[in-house]
Amino acid sequence: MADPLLRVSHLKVSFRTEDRAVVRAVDDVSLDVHAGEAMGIVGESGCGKTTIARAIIGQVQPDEGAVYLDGEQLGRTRTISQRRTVQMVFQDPYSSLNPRMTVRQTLRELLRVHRLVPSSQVDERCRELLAMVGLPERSLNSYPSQFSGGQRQRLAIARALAIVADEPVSSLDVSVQATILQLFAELRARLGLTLILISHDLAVVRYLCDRIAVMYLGRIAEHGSRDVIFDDPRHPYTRALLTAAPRIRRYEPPDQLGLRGEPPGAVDIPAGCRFHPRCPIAEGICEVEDPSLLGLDADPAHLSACHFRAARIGR
Amino acid sequence: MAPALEVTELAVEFGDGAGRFRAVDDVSLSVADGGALGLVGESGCGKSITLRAVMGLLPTGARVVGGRVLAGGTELPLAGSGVRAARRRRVAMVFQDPSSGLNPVMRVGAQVAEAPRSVLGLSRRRARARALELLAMCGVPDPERRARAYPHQLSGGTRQRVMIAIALSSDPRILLCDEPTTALDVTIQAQILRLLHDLRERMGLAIVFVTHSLAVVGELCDSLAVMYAGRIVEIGATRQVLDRPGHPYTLGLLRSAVDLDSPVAEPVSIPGLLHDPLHRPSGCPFHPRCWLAGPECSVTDVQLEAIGAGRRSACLHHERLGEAASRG
Repeated sequence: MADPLLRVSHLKVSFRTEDRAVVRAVDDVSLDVHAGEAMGIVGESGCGKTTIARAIIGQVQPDEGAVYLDGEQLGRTRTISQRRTVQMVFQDPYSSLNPRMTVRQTLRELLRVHRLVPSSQVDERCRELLAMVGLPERSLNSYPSQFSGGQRQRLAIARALAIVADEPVSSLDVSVQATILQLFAELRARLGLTLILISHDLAVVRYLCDRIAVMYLGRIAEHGSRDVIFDDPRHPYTRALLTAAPRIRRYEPPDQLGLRGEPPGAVDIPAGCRFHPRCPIAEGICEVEDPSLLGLDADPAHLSACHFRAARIGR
Repeated sequence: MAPALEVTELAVEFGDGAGRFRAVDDVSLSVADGGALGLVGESGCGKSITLRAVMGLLPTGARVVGGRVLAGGTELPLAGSGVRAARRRRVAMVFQDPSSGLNPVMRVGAQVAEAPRSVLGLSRRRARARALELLAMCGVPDPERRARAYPHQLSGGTRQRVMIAIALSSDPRILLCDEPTTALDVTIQAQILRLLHDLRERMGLAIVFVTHSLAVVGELCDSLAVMYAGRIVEIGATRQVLDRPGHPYTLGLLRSAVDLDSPVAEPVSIPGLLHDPLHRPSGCPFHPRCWLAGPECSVTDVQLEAIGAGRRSACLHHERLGEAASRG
């Protein structure tokens, strides 16, 4: 397989709170995202998913580990082209567009540099791209300053090669949410956009992503293809999230979540398996031994950080 | 027996002169003891304003211009000085942001004990015991210890449980909920929904729950009202409305949503946008966005009409929805 477009390698990020306690927000996380792939990162508040996103785009500096783009380590300062290639959605998109280039020039550069289409089709694809993000064809000859904030947002999505989207739809009304989800799906299908989607909404992640990492307290608890995560979860925390997620036609809130209490803060990470104080299947080993994130014997690409990963958890 | 809550022909307006518009128009609904009604719709549909009008907590600039609210058969004033007093012991409300309703410099136990003392007239000791009971009932872990904490020392989920305990502390029969789980993590959301569900069953609490999430409403509520542009466009039993929508807007909302149980469905958005409130379309306000609309929809003032047992819809073409829904 080709090198991943984005590689997050043994990333550790910590912060200090006001009372000088150390919060280990991301605690040794590795992820590979291949070109054209959509990777979902799910988990609850404080699990570190947003910190990973911010480390990928260079907004926070890791204590250890690194982020690689096309095999090249992304340093403290990034080149303009690196910044443009990996784009965060729903930040000010102005900084990512060259103010002295028209939209046509910007998009042509993108399509040519990445050899996404034969040169004879570049113009046609530029128009298509614009239509996809809902901008009129005449804007091809406009400069970024001539667009509204929302339009620049969509332009930035259109010209990025990889997008890191942090809860891009969670505050939107459902019908608007559907439009944005469709836009992402279309950009993926037609342009091979690489997507890293951070979300607490499992239905959204299931719709858009090929692979999913479930995070708990700064670590990946489980990682695998969409199908295995949803149909054959091998970590009790994944199981609890799936049970808790509301469903339109369940007609009753879940009775038992298979999870106790609330997450401890990332200041006070439990010894052994960090999930054990809340886990319904924890045993003695879980209190003393921190489980590694390992593949299943039957499916090495399906990783779980549970001592009992070999056992089916059931639905 | 009178329903726990009955709202008839409620109307709320904003603005003056040329800027005047109806945010809530002719809204009627009722909730039985132990029942839960979901109010759903998108931003600007009037669901939160309806809830606030019932609570007597309208924002500045909004005024009730018609309608009545009855709690257990007793009429509640909708404006004026008696608004709060009339609702004590009858109606309470919880909000999306639990911090907004908590006093940051007062221990939470004392905040829960306040109404039992001032409203129910319990002694200091009895009020304190009642507060602990309420905290335990609302699933606050280790209530004795948490009662001595200040709000900022609690997690978001525990704060929302405390807010519910405070809302219940004056023994209301009706709990109005304005997106109380939207800001919470999914596991906490599920626990709060379970708590509200149990409070309905154990205490016969009547609930009105405002949300934009069809999944949340489906799990908690036995009846459902869908609002569009200030009006209820469809109302009925939750299962019936979600399984066989009787209004194209309801079907539109269902098709827009991604759901874990139907992972293959492509979300389809509703075309167009909600009109500017000052320029309400003639006839059915949804007609410019509706694929079922014919010329009659732009001229007929469509009213809610019975379309089955306990179900009403404000659509001239609701019969044609059955076919559309079965086609998916």
